[in-house]
Amino acid sequence: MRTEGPAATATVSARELRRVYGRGHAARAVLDSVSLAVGPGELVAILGPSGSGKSTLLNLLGGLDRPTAGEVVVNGQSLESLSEAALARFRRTTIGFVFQSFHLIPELSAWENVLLPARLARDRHGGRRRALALVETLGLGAVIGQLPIDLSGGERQRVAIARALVMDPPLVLADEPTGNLDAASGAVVIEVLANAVTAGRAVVLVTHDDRLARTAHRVIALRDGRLE
Amino acid sequence: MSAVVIRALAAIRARPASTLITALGLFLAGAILGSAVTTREALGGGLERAQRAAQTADIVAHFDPVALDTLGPRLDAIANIADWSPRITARPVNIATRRADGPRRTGTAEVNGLLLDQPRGLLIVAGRGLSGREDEVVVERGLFTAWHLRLGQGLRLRGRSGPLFVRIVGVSIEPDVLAFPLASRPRIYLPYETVRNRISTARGRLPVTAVAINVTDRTRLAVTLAQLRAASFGLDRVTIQTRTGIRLAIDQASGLISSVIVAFAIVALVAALVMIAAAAYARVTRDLATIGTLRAIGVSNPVIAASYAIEVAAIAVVAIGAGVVAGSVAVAGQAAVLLESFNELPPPHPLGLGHALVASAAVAAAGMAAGAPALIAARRPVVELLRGAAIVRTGRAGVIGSPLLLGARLALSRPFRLAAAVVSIAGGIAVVLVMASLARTLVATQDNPQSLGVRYSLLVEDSPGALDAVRSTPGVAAAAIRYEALAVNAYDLGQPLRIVAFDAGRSGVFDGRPLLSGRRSLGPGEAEVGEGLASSLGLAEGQMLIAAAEGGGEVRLRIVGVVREPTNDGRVAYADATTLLAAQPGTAAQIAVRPTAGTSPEIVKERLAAQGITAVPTGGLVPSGASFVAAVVALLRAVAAVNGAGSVALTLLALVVLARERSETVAIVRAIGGSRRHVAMLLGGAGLVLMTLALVTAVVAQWLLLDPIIERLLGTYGVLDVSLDGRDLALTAVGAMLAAIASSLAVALRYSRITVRRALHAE
Repeated sequence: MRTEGPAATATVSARELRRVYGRGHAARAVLDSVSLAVGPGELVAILGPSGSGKSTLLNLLGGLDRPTAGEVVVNGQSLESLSEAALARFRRTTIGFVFQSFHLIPELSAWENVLLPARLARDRHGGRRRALALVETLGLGAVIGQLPIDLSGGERQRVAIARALVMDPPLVLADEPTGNLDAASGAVVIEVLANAVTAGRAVVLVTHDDRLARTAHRVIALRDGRLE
Repeated sequence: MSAVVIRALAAIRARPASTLITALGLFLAGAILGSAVTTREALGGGLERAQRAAQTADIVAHFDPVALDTLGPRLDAIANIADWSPRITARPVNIATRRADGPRRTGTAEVNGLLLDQPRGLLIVAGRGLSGREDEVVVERGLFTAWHLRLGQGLRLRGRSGPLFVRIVGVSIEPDVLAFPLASRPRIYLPYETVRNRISTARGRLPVTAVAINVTDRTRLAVTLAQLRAASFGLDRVTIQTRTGIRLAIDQASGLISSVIVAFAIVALVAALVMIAAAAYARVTRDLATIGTLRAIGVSNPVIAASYAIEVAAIAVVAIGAGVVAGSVAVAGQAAVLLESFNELPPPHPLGLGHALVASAAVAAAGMAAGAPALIAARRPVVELLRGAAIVRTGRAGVIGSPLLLGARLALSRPFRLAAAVVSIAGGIAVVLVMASLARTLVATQDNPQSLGVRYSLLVEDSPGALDAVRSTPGVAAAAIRYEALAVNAYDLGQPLRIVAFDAGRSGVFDGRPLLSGRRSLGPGEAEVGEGLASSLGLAEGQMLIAAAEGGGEVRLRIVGVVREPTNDGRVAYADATTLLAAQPGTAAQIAVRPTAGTSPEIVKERLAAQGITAVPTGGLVPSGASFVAAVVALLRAVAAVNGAGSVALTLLALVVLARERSETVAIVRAIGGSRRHVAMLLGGAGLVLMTLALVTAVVAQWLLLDPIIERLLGTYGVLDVSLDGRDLALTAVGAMLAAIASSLAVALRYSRITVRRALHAE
C-alpha cells in the first residue's frame, strides 16, 4: 500500500480505495488499493492512460460514486457514513466539481448556472455576492446573460469553474478541465485553478495537459487502477 | 438486409429502456384505438346483426285480441305482404323459480304464445326452440342472466285456473325491444296452444294479439302500411312498428350511449395519434448526434429518415398490435353486457378487419411520425448535430428561482414535445370532464325533472272528480289534464311520434322545454315539436305536421316552435288538447300535478295517497327509468375512469421522457449537491406545467371543440348540459395535479436511484 500525502491535516483523504464494476466472471477492478491525502492549498494532478481509473478515483473522492472497499474522508467527514441525502447536502457546501464537458444546464443562462448551487443551498445573498466576485475574476461579465449554447468552450469552462467555486468549497475536483479547450482558454483555466489553490482550497484534478500538470504540487500516476 | 434496417434493429436492441418507453406510449395509443374500435363496431352493428339472425319482420303490429279467422283474410288481401305469423301475448303473468333450484325468485313476465312453424323474429342463443310440448318454455336472455337460470330448470307460471310448471329448453333474444331488466318485464315464450288454453284471458276462437309481417317489396312499405291501417278497422289499440321504427325505438335507448362512444372514439383517436407522434418524435430527438454521425459518414437524408421510420414502425407493430388487442379485450365484455341490455348481438369475432386497418394505419402513422422529424433533423448542419443539437435555444428567463421553476423551464424549453404531451393528456382530461358533466346531468334529470323543462312533479290517473280533489290538496300549486297519444307521420307511416297535450292555455305552465326556434304555441292547431322530430321529418316553423293517431284519426298541426326534447328521441309534438281530442276523442288522460314552491313532491304524493289517489313521480330521461340511467351513468363513469387513468399514465410517460432527455441536468443538479427533494421539485415543476397547460387546453377544447361535437352527436339529447361545471372542474383539476405530483415523485425516485456518475457518463 502506498499513501500519498499527509492524511492527518488533509482536506481529502482516501484509504485503500477499491472499486469493482460488474459481478461474477464479469467483475473488473477499475481501482485497487489506492490511498492518498490532499491538504489545504495543495494542487494534486492525477495522470494516467485512458482506462487507468482516474475519473473513477475523482468520482469516489467527490462522493459521486461509492467505493467497493476503502474509505474517503473530506474535511474530517467520512463519506461512507453519510446517507444519500446527507451526502448531497455535503457536496453542496464542501465540494466543487469541474467537468471536461462542462455539464452546464442548457436552459439556464451563464449567471443562472453559476448561482444554481447557492439557490439549492438557499444562500441567496452570500451566493450572489460570491458569484459577482467570481464573474469579475473570471472575466465573464460580458457573457453572463447568455445561454451555454452561445458561449465558446473556454467561456463555458469558466462558467463551470465559477459554479464549482460559488459555495466557497474547501475541495475542488476537476476532470480534464482543459481537455476540450484551446491553448489560450486552457491557460485561463489553469490560472483560475491556481488562484483557487492560493486561496487555500485543495484541488485534485485529472489531466493529460502537461502545462496543467506542471502547476501541480504533486503528480500522482495511475496505471491499471493502482498508484505507480 | 440493408444497412438501414440493420441500424434500425441495432438501435432497438441497444437501448432497451428507450425502446420500452416508446413501446409503452404506442401500446397506450393502441389500447385506446382498440377499445374505441371495439365499442364502435359492437354497438354500431349490434341491432342489424341481431335482426338479421332473428329474421326480424318488416312490420310488427300489436292489438287487442282478435280471432285469427278475422285477421287472416284481411292480411292475405294485401298484395305486398309476403308472409305473416301471428302470436298471442298475455301480461302480466306471475312467474317464479322453484325452491328446489336455489334462492326463490318471483316476478311478472310477458308471455308470448308462438305458432311453432312460424317463430319469426326470435333468435335462440342457447339451448333449442320449442318442440310443442306444453311444459317447455324459452326465456329471454336478460331474464336468464339476471335470475341466474340454467337450461332444464323449472319455472312456475300462474295460469288462468292454477299453476303451470314448465322447463327451460332455450334462451332467446328478440331484437325489437329492450332486454330485461332495462325493460320492466321479461319475455318468455310458450307454444300458442298452451298460452291460449292455460294462460290468456282472451276469448273467442284462435285469438291473436300480434302479427309479424314480411313484405315482398320494401320500397312500397309506406303503401302497405296505409293498407294495413285501413285493414285494421274494427281492431282496438293497434300499434304498428316497422324496422325503421324499431331502429328508432332502440336508438332512443341506446342512442345516448352510442353517441357518447362515438364522441369518445373521436377524442381517443386524436389523443392516440398525438401520442404516437410524440413517442416517435421523442425517440428521434434523443438521437440527433447519431443522425449527425450518419450524415457525416455519407448517409443521405431520406435513408436516415427511412431508418428511423423502420425503427419506430418495428416497435409499433408489436406495441400497437398488443395495445389494440388489450384495449379490445378490456372493453369487449362491457360492450357485450351493453348489447345484451338492448337485445343485440356482439360481432362474431372480437377482432376484425376494422382492428387490423386501424392498427396498420397507426403503425404507418408511427413510422411517418418518426421519419418526418428525422428528415427535418437530418437537414440541419452536420456540425451543429455533432455538437449536440439536442441543446436547444430557449427563451431568456429572468431569475432562476427554485428547482420547481427550473423544472418548469425544462418542460417549456421543448415546445413541440410539450405541446404533444399537453394535447395527449388534455384529450383524456377533456373526456373525463365531458363524462363527468354528462353523468351529473343524467343524475340531475333523474332526480329533478324540472331540469328537463318539465314543470310538474307528479302524475295521477284521471278519474271523475280527481282533478278537483288534486287541486284542493294542500301543497298543490296547479294541476291540469295531460293527454298523450301515439301517432305516425301521415306521409311516412314508419315514422312514429308522440303527441302531448294539456288543457287549453296550460301547456306553458306545465311544460317549458327549451325553445330552440320559433315561438311558444298559443292556441288550437298549433304545436311545438321536438328537435328530433323536426330533423327526422325535415320540418320547420310554419309547416304542417299531419299525423295519424293510433286510433285512426288525423291530427293537423301548424308548427310554431322547435324545442329541445330529451325523451322519445325528440319525436314529440306538444299540441293543444282540443285539436288532439278532436282527432282522437278517447285519448288517455292523466293529471299533471305541480307542487307549491318549497313543497316536496313526496309530501304531496302522501297527501294524495291519504285521499286514495295514486300519484307517480315524473322525470326519467328514458322510458326504462332509473336502471337505465344508472347503467348509462356507470358506463360514463367507467369511461371517465379509463381516460383519467390514461391521462395519469401519459403524464408519467411524459415525465419519464423528460427525465431521460434531461438526465444530464438531473445528474448535474445532484452532482452540485441537489438532494432527492430537489430532483422531485425539478420534475414536479415540469409535471405541474404539463398538467396546468393540459387542464387549460382541456377546458378550451371542451368549450370550443367537444361541446359542439357532442351536442351534434347527441342530437335530440342536446338538452343535456355538457358544459363545464365548477365542481367537476375543481375535482378534476385537483385529481390531475395530484396525479402530476405523484408521477413526479415516482420518476424522481427512479432517477435518484441512478448514480450521478452513471447518469453523467451516459451523456
